[in-house]
Order: sequence, then structure tokens, then C-alpha cells
Amino acid sequence: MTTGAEQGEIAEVGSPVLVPADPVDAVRPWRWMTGTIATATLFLGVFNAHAIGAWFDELPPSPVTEPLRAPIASWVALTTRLGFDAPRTAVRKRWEAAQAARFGTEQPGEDGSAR
Amino acid sequence: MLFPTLSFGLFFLIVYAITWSLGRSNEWRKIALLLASWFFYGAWDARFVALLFVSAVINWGLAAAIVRSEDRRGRALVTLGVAANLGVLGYFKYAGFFLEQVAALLQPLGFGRDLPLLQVVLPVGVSFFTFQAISYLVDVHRRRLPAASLLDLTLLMSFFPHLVAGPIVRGADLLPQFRRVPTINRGTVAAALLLILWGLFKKAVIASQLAGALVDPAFFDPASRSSFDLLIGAYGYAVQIYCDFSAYSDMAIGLAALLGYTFPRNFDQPYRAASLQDFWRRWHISLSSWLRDYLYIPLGGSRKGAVRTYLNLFLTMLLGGLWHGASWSFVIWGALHGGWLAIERFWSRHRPAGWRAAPRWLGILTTFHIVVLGWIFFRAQGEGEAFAYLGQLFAGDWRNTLVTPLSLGLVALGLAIHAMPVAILPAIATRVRAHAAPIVGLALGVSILIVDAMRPDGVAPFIYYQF
Repeated sequence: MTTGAEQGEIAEVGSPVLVPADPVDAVRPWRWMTGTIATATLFLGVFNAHAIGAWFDELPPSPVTEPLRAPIASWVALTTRLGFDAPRTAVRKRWEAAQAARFGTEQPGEDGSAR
Repeated sequence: MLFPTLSFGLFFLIVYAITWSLGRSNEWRKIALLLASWFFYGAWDARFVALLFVSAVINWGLAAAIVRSEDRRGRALVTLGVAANLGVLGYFKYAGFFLEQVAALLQPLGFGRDLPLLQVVLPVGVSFFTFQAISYLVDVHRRRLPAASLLDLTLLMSFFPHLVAGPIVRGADLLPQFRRVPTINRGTVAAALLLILWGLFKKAVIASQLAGALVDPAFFDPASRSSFDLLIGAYGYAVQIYCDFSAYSDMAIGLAALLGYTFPRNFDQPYRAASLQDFWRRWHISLSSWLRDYLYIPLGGSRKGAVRTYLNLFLTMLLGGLWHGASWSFVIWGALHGGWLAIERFWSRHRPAGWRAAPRWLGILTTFHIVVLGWIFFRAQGEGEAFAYLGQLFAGDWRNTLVTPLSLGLVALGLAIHAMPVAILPAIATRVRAHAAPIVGLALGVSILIVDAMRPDGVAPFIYYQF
């Protein structure tokens, strides 16, 4: 008997996005979702502009990217001047201190490779 | 285009805006999603978009013919379809390996060097969409599923959240959802956002840090490392592959949910499994249930006596190992899992009457270490390197030359995740959905900022992209 094929796997093992229903679920859900995503995007645009600048620098030059390069560089410079990059820098510094901590003389590898 | 990158973030925001702006026009919505999925896939290699499309058209045509056919012709058509799908998979995945093995066999006879050297570029996700197509054809043939329209089937096979690394979402789950206009609710959105955030943390912080600082150096040159390094390195890989692959699944499920579609669970705290059978109910659930429904049960399952049951378990896992790739180390990995599953089944049937069952903690510990042993073969570049790793692991040198407080802490965290209450995510989601959007958005933004500050420069591809 193949319960998976007969009823679908969601019926068999569930889904992590299915949560118990509540009346608040139906209160303008699309507006709530879009408002949440838009707020997070704007927040990151201001406080994580460094990441946007670094990403943009790696994009190959094209008619789409070139006109945007100067405005993005200005935006990154402005947010840095106003100190909006400070929270990210503080977290990064602590994280790098944690990476540098040693029990003794061990020599770990470098970040960012796989398999 | 990897999930945890700004390129993908921008792509997703555009897709999100377009699909939801199409309102109640379900057909246009699906067309937009299909074009977006092809764009996403084309970002790897545009040539394979054609492969994806042709595969969908052939499977659609076969399913339509199967529906119109009487039983014997239908069976012939489904056999043809399964063979065609396996042929595609076989060519891209195993042709080079097969020729290498034949050449090695013919070498002593003086013919080996005459065989062509075949370097086939593997289309990303081919293992996933061919398995999806096979299950669709079989389900249509068994009348468990009505034949889908060309648009629905093409979107089923191409839908970008699951396209390159699963979950293997079956037609029975997704096709009915494609037939109606998706709806959304706050609880699902909250759970989806939490899943994406959690996946981002597991991949960008835990998996990436462990890969670079611990696992890669341990597996690169095990001979220069101590037994302690290699033991923690093996545990580290167990955590890395879990955090890497489950992160992809979490993000895929979350992204699909934000577009209005529900995917099944793919991971369920696998390292708290008390047996290997239990492990496979918790690890890559969509693959293990696929293998159960479309391989183990058609082979006879447990219906043909004890010996056939053990053989079927072994064969299923052996082929499951080969599904991951053409190499002897994957074969050994599959054989280890299949063999241990058969031993577990034998023991459950033949345990002496007076013997009590092992305590659960012992089952968890044993299962975890069998799985870790398998991961050494899975991770090593070849079977020789895996045996070298094992040899050095038991060399008895317990100095530490590699393990840092951070990597040890992340290994511990990755294992501690498995002790969390199972329903913690829905519990948090039910609290999150009650708050105003700006508050939730700010909390989400702060969390992503923290994760982004901790990730390495550049994110490595997901481990399962190569399968």
C-alpha cells in the first residue's frame, strides 16, 4: 500500500508551513505578508547596504548594471557615513573573534568551500 | 543562482510581485511561474532548459496516451516512459562512469584505451525531475492521479523552489494545488518566513563555517590529521550535510508557501532516530518514500518472505546510493545502509524471546554512528580516501590540530537542534502571526542582518546540487 501515492505526501508526513488555524489568519493576509517582506527589505537596504554594494561589485558590467553603479556606491557611502553599518560591523567583529579563538595551536581551514 | 544570495533575493521579489499581481488569473499565474522557473534554471545552463521542456512534453504525451489505453498497452507505455526517463538520467549521470569501468575491465585485454573518454555535463537537478516524472507516469497508470495539462506538468517538473535539489514533490501533492487559485493565510506566511530564516542560518552560518574550518581540511588530507580531528571532522560533516540539505528544503518549502503552494516536510530531526529504518523516515523523506513506493514495494517489499525482504531492502538502498552519483563510494554507502536495514529487520524478527529491547538512547547512539560511518564514504572523494580516513581515525592519536571552540560549538549546536521540541516552529509561527507587519518585518530584517554578518564571503553551492 502506497499511502504516499494515494493521498499525497502532505497527507502522510505533513508540511511545516501548516499551522493550527486562528481567526487572525484571515485578517488581510496578503497585505500582512507584503508589508512584512517590504519592511524587512527596506531595513536591510539601509542597515546592510554594504552587502548590496559588495554584490553589485561582483556583477559583470552590462547596460542594466552600469547606470546603477554610481547611485549604489553613493547609497553605500551615505549609509556608512551615517553609521547605519555599525550594527553589522559589531556583529561581524564578534563573529571573527569567535572564529579566531583556539584551544591551543590548532590550524583550521578557510571559510566557504563545499562537499 | 543560489537561494542565500542577493541575486536570488531580487529574483524572488520580482516573481512574488508578478505572480500575486496577476490576481485570480490562475493560468497566467502558472505561465509566469513557469517562465520564472526556466529563467532560474537557465542561470546555470540555458541549454538544459530545453531538456527540461522536452522531458515534460514527452511525459505529458505518454500520460495522455496511458489514460486512453487499455491495460496491456498502458503497461507498455509506462514501461517505455520509465525507461526513457531512466535513460536520460543514465546518460547524464552514469555514461562516463560506465565507460570508465568497462575500460578498466578491458585494459588487461589490450582494448581499454580504444574506448572514448566521455565527459558529460550533469544538468543540475536531473535526478529530481526525472524521479518526479517517473512517479507521475506510474501514478497515472495506476489511476491514482488524473493526467495533467501540459502547463501543469511542465510547471510541476520545473517549479523553481524544488527544481534543483528537491524535495521530490509528487504530482499527487502539487497538481491539485495548480488547479485552483492559491490562497494565503498569516499562519502559513509566518511559518514560511521562519523556515526561510532558519534555513538561511543553518546554511550560511553552521554548514558554511563547518565546511571551511573543519570538514574540508579533515577530508582533504586525513593522513596529516589526528584521530581526534577526524572524529570531530566526521561528526562535523554529519552536522554540515544536515544543515546544508535541510536548509535547502526549509527554504524551498518556505518560498513555495509565500507563492501560495504547500510542499511536504522533507526532514524531521533525523539524528534522533533510534533505528536506521526510523532514520529514513526522517531524512530526505521525499526520496525515501519515493524509493519505498516506486522501488521497494514493486520489488515485492516484505510480501515475499524473509529472504526477499532483506534482499529488497539491500537492493533499494544500493540503488538509492547510486542515485546520488556514479561512484563506488556511493555504492558502499548504499550497501552499508541496506545491509544495516536488513540486519535490523532480521533482529526484530529473530530476537530471542527473553531478551529485552535495547534502550532508546542506545538505539539513537548506534544509529547515529552507523550514519556517520556512511557519511565518511559519502563525503570522501573516493573509496580509497574513505578507507584512508577510517584507518587514520583508528590510529589512536588524540591530539587536536584542527578543532576550534567555534567549530566544536557548531557541531554541538547542530546536534542539539535535534533535541528541540518537534512543534517549536508552528508554536513560534502562531505567536508571530498576531503581530503587526512592521514589527515582524523589522524582526526579520534584524535576524537576516545578524546571519549575513556571520556568513563567509561567498556561499558555496548546496551539497545536493551535484545530485
